[in-house]
Amino acid sequence: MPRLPLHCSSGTGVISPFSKAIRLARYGCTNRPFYHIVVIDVKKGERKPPIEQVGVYDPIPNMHNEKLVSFNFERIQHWIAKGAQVSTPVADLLGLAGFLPVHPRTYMRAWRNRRTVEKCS
Amino acid sequence: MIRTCLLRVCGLVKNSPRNVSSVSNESADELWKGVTSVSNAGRLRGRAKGLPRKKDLNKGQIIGIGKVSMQFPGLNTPVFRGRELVHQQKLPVDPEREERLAKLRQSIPMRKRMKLSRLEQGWTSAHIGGRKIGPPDSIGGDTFDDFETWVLESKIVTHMTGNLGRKSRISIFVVTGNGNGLAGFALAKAPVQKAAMKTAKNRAGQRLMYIPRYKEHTVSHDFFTQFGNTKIFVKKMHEGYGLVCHRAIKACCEAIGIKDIHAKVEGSINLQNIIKAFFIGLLQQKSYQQLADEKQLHLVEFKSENGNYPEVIASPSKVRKPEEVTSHEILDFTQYVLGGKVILQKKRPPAFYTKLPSFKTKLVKLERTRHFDETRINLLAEYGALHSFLTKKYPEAKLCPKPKQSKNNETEE
Amino acid sequence: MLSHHISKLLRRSYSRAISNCRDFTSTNVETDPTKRDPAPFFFNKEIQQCLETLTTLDYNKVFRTRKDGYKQKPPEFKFLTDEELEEARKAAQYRAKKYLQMPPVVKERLEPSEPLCEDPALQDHDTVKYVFTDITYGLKDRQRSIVVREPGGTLRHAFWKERDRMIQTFLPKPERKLQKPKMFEDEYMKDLLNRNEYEFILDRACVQFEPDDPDYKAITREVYEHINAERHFDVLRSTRHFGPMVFHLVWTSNIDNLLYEMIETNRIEDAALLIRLYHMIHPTTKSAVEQCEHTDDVDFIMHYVRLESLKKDKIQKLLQSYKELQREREIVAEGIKQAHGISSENVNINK
Repeated sequence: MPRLPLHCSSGTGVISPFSKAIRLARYGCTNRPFYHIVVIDVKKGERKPPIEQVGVYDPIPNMHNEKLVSFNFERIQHWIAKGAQVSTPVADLLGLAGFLPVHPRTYMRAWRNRRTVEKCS
Repeated sequence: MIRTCLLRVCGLVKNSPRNVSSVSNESADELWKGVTSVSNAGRLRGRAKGLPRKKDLNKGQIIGIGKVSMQFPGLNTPVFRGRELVHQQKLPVDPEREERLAKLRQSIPMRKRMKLSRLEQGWTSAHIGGRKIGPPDSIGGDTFDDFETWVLESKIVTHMTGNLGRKSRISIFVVTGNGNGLAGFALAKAPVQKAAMKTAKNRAGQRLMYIPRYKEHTVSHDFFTQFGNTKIFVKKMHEGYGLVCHRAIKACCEAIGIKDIHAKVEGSINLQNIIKAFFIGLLQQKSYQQLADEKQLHLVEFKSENGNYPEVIASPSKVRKPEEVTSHEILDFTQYVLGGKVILQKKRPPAFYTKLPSFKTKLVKLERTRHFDETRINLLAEYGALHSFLTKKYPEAKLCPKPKQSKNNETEE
Repeated sequence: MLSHHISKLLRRSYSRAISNCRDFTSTNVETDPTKRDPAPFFFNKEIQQCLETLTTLDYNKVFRTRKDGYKQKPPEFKFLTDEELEEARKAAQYRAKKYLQMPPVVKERLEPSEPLCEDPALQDHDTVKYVFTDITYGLKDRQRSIVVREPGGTLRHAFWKERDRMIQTFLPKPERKLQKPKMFEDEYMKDLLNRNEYEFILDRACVQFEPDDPDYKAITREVYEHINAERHFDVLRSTRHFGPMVFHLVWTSNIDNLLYEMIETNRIEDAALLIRLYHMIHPTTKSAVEQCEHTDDVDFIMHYVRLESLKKDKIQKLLQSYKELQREREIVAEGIKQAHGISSENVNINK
């Protein structure tokens, strides 16, 4: 079953005076995650209608072994300039995209991965 | 018991001294009636279905020829053969005669199949309307080779006479045509249906008219026609559109050879009036040259499939200047050929359920399935089954279709 | 704890530090000396004019019944005055030009070579690569920045194949398929070519590929070569693909068959124009260097054939027979003139 109610893909466009966050909202279904990158009030729940959708993130690799991410960089720039917070996973992705400096968590993940590979070998 | 009765009926056992009973006194017809008939009340209750039929038990038997083959001059042989008188005498017995008779009696002649196939039976299975009855008969050297006749209407009509009272006849209305522009229709009445059909189709063959068509597939232009209170709006249509009209008009179009048309009947739907109105409309169509001459303007055709390239169909000898075209005259072609009428085209109102809240919910639920068909087809085209690129990696997750379906899939592939 | 501090620091710096890495510069500007770039020749005004003339606008063919998937409508009739009819015809001519707009012939695109940045500290951050697509509204497909982060930590521009796939995924064109359609595979392609469905293949290729896609180049080349070998030039005449085909044949100096066909169908002017086009694109060839003294088209073609053509005998024979035919025609025309001489004068007097 789809997540009901479905929201407009462009978002509701209703802007409140509270602080905003750019974060992931899980769509998809059981065992098949799919994320929308949304701008939403910090205190609102994940399933609430977002102010705006600024991208998508598909964490399951496709047949060419790629993870697909899309960003509306213009709008992200706009919201960051307005003081919106960026959640860690989104900052992680933006860092990998080269839009922001690479997030320290990414470095840590890389380092851990390398360490486990070394241990195994 | 019945066996003896039947034997008696057949005349094989005569004046039998034994088995004298009341039954044996009845005639063959009476005996048969007992087997093959039902009471009126029973018939009403449906007991008459599947009753045995009267059978000729003496089939193959000829007077003068029997078990013992005898020559009877004057009965089964001539009295004189040449100049010689033939005497009554015994001939050698034919041993195969009994077998032959038995075989003949056992072989039941095939009953004629009354049911017509779906394609031949006309509009419905109950009535003759829409059925084809072949070309009219040739008259005086005129043959109707490529013609075909459609029965449009068959009904019982009655009138009162002085000495007979209510007298009924069959009225048949037919249209005949060669599918190439020639067609005619006629009405005939006769006491019997068969005779009425024959008269009607022959009469229709004598009343043929030629109807011009546009590129041999549709009418020349849209038109409006009326007979009595029956009004028909006919629209010319592009190739491949088909016949979208009343079934009687469809039969007429097939007879004439029109393949693409849209017609709407309004007002009275008297079938004979519909046909008359349609034919009047067809005959009153104007040729393109006539229209161009009337308007004194070029008549130009624009076809969407040809990129709307202007193709001049008819031009008058002298074309009017733009200043001479008055502002109040009808310049729209369709409106002009409809005689100034504009067809009211109502928009179909949305179905009542689309306003219900449950319909909205249903749509939201169905949103999930919006790409299912497309994806399914794409996957079938790419992998030959409902697999994906992950199937190789996880073969245990393969969809296992039921054995029956798998067979079908194989045949499809 | 450390990460927490760093993230705090970062969060403060987000508002300022927006690295602008979106300036996407295509790297196919470099010129390869071995391969000439056809684009400046193709877009040259004179050459465009030549190709348009060679295409020969035939309205019956341009406005033929097309099976383009649109629902048919009943034909529309109109009453028009002379002026309105002229206007309608002009509009149709304009549309015909649009139908005949040639797909561009440009050089094959080159893959971006240099990575944007390399970060060895990011090695093994994930086992698969990440593809980031910019879906900003209103950008053109070529301006859209699409970058890939490899598992090794390098950030680079996406390859063209990836770019096409991503653009079709996020901003799909309804007529384009995500994967290369099967009809462009060899066996199906051969079947289509044998059935002379050239226009269908070329139209579909135009829809599916970008004009500088190597696949597009290969497919069009194959079709053009097949047409050239089978001499089915008339199938493409009056379509938008005739110009590019002629350009391809001239570019590869392989115009003998086309020349032969043009002379055969009495298109002497077109044949002469073709040779002029050849001289424009290859100005250093023998026939271009040695100026022809004759101004007559037939002699001009002869001049070219003598110097360069590989099928000298055939074309020369054909030209000879054409000349004789022309002479005979002139004689017949003169005869007719003489026979009608008096009557035509009479008509003049009557007028």
